[in-house]
Amino acid sequence: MTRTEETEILYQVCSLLLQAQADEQAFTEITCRLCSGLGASCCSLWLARSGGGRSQERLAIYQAVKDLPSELVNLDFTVAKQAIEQGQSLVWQKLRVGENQEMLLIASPLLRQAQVVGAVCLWFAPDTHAGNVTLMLVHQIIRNLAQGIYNYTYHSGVNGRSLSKELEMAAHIQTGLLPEKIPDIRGISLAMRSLMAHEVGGDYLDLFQTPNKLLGIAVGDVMGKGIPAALWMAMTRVALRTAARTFSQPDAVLEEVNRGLYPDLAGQSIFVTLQYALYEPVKKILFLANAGHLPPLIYHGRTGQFELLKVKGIYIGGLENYKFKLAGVQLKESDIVLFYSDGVTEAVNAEGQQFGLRKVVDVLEKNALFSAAEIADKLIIHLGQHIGDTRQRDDISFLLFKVE
Amino acid sequence: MRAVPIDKVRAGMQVSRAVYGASGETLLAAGVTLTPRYIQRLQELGVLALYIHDEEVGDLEINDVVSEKTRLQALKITKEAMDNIRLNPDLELAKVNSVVNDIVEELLSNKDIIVNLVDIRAMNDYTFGHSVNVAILSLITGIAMGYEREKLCKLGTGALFHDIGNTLLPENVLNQDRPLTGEEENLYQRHTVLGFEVLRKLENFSLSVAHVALQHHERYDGTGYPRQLQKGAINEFARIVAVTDLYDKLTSGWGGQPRCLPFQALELIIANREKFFHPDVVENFMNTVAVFPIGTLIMLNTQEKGVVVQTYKEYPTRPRVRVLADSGGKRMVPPYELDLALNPNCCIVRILDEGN
Repeated sequence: MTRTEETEILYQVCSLLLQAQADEQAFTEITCRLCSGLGASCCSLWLARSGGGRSQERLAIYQAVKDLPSELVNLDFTVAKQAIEQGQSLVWQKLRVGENQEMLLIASPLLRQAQVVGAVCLWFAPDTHAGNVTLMLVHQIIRNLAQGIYNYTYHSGVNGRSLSKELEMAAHIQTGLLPEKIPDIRGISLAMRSLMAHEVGGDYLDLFQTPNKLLGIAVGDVMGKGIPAALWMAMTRVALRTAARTFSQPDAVLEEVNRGLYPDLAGQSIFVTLQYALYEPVKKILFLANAGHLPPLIYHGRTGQFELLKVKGIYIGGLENYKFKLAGVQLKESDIVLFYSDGVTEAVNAEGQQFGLRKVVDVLEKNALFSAAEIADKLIIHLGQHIGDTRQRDDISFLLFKVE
Repeated sequence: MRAVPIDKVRAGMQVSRAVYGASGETLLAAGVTLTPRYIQRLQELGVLALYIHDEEVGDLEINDVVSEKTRLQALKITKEAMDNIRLNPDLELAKVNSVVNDIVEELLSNKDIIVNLVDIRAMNDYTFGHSVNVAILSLITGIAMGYEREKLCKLGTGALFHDIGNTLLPENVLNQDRPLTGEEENLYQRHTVLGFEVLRKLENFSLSVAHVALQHHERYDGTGYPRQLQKGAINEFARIVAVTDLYDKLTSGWGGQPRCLPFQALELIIANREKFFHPDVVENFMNTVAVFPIGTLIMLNTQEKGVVVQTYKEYPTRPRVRVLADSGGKRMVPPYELDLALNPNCCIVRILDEGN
């Protein structure tokens, strides 16, 4: 490849990116040019998503060669996923695609100011001579693509929100605060789900193992939306995690959180509801203290009865030096405990009807034989069937565990 | 291919699975392009849904748990036996045993059986298709419960003839597309006793197998009929058939009820464990049918739309999905597939209407 040819490709890609803020058609065009310019068989461009859900969306794909193995598109997805989630790039990697066929791959995350905004994958025939494509050129293309995709997300709001820079950051903070790994606790199955509303909400879910090997579960809601809510949520999380390391009883933990946050919260019209529970897996006892949050729902699998574990308590920031109450409940095999935000029971359908607690109980009853992950998936589907295309104002989030 | 309800089927669509009549005759072959006349005829025959080839969805392989040949053979033998019983109460047991054996062998040779197909049949000949499907579902449940071959064959025969008493009822009680009146219901309930009476008189027919016909409407909590038996007092095979009978009726649209999606039927059965059904049977049954069968159109939490292409026994709510459209509704060409089992951040939020 001559220098002029290289410059030509770069010029074409850049002008496509600049043109009309790069819409989806332009991206398809770019993948097409990259294939013809670099001699690749297939090229795909991926967008990294923020907020709930999966972390990537395909912007464009172009297959320059007919009859590529059908496995290629799935492999392409996996490679892009690794690039986006782990920042992993592959250069001239030989990969088996389908039966008895190999291809060469260049895949790279697209980075803008150290943040992954997307990924690009280029697939070549196995006999392609690597020297024909200068990596310098590929690097330059990748840099330009990163900027182009950043501009695209910034202006088109593809991440599902009316994206201003600040809201995007708030969404990042929020997603980052959800626990990454679900701890493995003896004798229970555990699952959590979160569907983000179109605005940044203040729902908060956290779970962790305490120093004395109990399961700590925190759920809360910051009244208000947007950046203040996201920031208060972040502060609450830190305060709670710190308190949970020092104090072992849920009521003491909430008192400590209230002591820490009260001075700042009291002056503002923001308040935080928060519930903190501890599960003791050997004796199967759940301890709970509550600062104005919705009581957890307990479904007794053996008897088919359900109850709300109500513990009174004022919200965080309500009263200085408030004394929280402690409650405990003995759980049995096949009991299901659900912690949820009001977004679950108040999810509305097109007719304005709320999902309601009765339906939640119904779903638990109808799926009680499954383990927590399946029950959670089913609850999400029932909520989804109810909601249809109706836009929700609140986040929908919940956490449940089942004593197996 | 995917299942489409008959009222959403249009001329020009291509049928991807044959529709058979009660004697195993082909009503409509696979690959046929539908015309308004075909559709009308299928409606007259009471066919509620068809498997249609869908260009956008692409190729989907949905394997039946037994071969088409065996299913048709079973259908034919069941119909012959049931038709004959009115005239001449003598059953050709050798033929029945042989086909039940075939089904058992095929199921046993098939590891990790998971039912992905909804049996599609004409309402006019409902009983036969229903009987065969209930036998197959019961056998899969029996295998899950660890039954040996001999026990499986008994279970299969009992399930195949659980509704044999229906053939002795007046036609107007059976072919109703509305709920039965009180009087009709009383008459209908007689099919259990009638069936039992026929079967127990047969030479070489096991009494415990005949009891399936008598007891398949008994309920775990003692609210069933005809004898209000409870829990352990109910015949072991009848407990299984009670579950599979209801599941098949719900998913095929029996008695004028709208067809239930498999996951809805399954939920109803789970909710009624220890009420109608024996909990052990429910637990074993629920893992044998796909919650979201191959071909189900779904929406993901990312707002992308897709179709289920593969199901996993261990992860019933997390199938492999082919993404067909992005969050903006734009078609994915070519579509890629993702495994929900490997992508915990991603989940199904809705089942999309079969017709759209």
